[in-house]
Amino acid sequence: MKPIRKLLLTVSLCSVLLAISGCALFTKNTGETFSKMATISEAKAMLPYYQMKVSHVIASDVYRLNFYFYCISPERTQMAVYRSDQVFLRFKNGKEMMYNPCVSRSGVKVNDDYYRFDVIIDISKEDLKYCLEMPIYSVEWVPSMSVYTEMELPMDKYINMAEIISDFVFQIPLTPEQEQALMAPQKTLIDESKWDY
Amino acid sequence: MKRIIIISVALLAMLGTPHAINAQEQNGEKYQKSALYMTLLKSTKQFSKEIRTVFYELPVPDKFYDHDLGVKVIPLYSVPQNTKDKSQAIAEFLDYNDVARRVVAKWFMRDKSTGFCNTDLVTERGLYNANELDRQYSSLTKRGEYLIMDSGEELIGSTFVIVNDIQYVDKERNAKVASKTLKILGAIAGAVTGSDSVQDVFELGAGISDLISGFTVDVTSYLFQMDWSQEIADGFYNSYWSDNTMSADEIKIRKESFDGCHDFFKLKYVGQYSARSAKTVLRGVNKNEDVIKKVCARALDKNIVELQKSYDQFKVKVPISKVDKGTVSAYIGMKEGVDDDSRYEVLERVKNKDGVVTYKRVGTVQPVKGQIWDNRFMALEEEAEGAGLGATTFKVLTGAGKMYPGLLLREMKFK
Repeated sequence: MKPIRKLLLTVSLCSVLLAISGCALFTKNTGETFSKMATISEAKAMLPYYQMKVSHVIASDVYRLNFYFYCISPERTQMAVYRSDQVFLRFKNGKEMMYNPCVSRSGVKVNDDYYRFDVIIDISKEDLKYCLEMPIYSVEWVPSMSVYTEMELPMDKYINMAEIISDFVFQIPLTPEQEQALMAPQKTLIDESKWDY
Repeated sequence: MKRIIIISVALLAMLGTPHAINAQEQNGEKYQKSALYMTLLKSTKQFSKEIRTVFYELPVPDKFYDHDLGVKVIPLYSVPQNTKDKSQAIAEFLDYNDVARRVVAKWFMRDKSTGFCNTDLVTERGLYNANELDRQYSSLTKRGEYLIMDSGEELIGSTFVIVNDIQYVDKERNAKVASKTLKILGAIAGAVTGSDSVQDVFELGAGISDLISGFTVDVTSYLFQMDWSQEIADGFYNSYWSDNTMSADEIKIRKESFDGCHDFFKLKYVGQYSARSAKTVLRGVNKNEDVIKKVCARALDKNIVELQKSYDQFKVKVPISKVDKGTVSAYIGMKEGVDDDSRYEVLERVKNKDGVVTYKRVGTVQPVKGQIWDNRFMALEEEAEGAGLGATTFKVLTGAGKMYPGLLLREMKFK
């Protein structure tokens, strides 16, 4: 075999091996959501992608909210050491709720374009109910151990907590009392001036 | 005693307007109809804002009296938005907000500040029937009693509240992805240029993209009916009615009693119907909001028709407007669910010896093929077949010699 042909064959084999390892890495890290995405452009169109759900009932009136989102990092290499210590839930009416995440992880690189960030916060029952009433306008992640001072996530739609809570109620085994407490009807009283007859 | 006085006043008011009665009879437009208060559940899902906007503009179907109470959109936070059956939560909301009491207040045109009531609306809506009563009864007192029984128990008891839950159906994922892409691009462009208009353009494009792929909604309509029994009517007249003939002390007591009354008036839950809107026909539609309006209006009409099919008390009775040889005409059409297979009974209102209104069947009719009026929302703009008819023509199947304008049609056979 001529040297040039050997070289070409080696390069081809290496390319194949790289491609296979790249696919494996992608599959391992991207998770269920991204594996469903047919193309990167579709994934981009869906950004920022987020998902929230309550994972545990910590106490009788404290719920652990676990959510993650994907974003495109402007400086990808440094995002791997990204860390946060404050999370703001900002509501449509301007109200803000600040939480100190009980667990904060660095962004996980899922592929060349995206990082996944996981957040866990403990939320009171009262706050949870407020979230049910008022759509969350944005989630702001304020890092402390980072070169970045602030990162705002351009949410393009409201986080519908009502749906998330519904999922949670049906997915997580709760005691009947906890479930009843969470789902207790909130009576909405329309202001008298709005009734016109 | 109070009730008799109220009845007499209402009756005298009616006797003083014979010409109005005749005019209304002639054009066939005024007849006894149920009163309807249509509301929408607030949603935060996709297109919910647009749906709310068009819902505000949708008129109450003309086969019902508009009994709007001012609040068109109901925020219901007690249950998650994707709960299948929200009837209980809605019933609690209606109860907590005293909607039944407000329905009564509207019927008697109660002045919020003074508490004074009057029977003008009851009288106005009862005019058509009053003429029939004139024909059948001669005793003033008795007729007055019958009138208020008719106008009160029947008309007020025929007040319905429909709470609609309209949810956009995300049928076309590709269209959605395209839409989001446009929105994100719009947001970026807007941020770069600092202009909202850039974003608006992209959002407009995004909307059109979604709509072209087929704007579809799921609509669940929850039907409630006013509970207006003899006991409740008596309670209202004896404890809550007030007018300027009463003493100041009595007026004050009655006003406060009515304002503080939270459990006397009730709405009964009747049932619900869920359906997905039909395929959108874009002909004659030039704006995105018109597409949404058209889809929502037709879906709501469809649900009302289906609720009528399921619940007799909610069925519309429409008067015959014209009688020809072997046919009759009425102002109903596809909006009310008329199709080739529909059958209608022809009813005559009569009072039995106890003074209770009953409906006696005098014949049956069937729509004539090709003569069914397409009166659905924007049918004219769509240039739909039958949109220009103005009324539906029915072939008389039985009772040919007994037909006259004013007899009522009620659908009798459902598929």
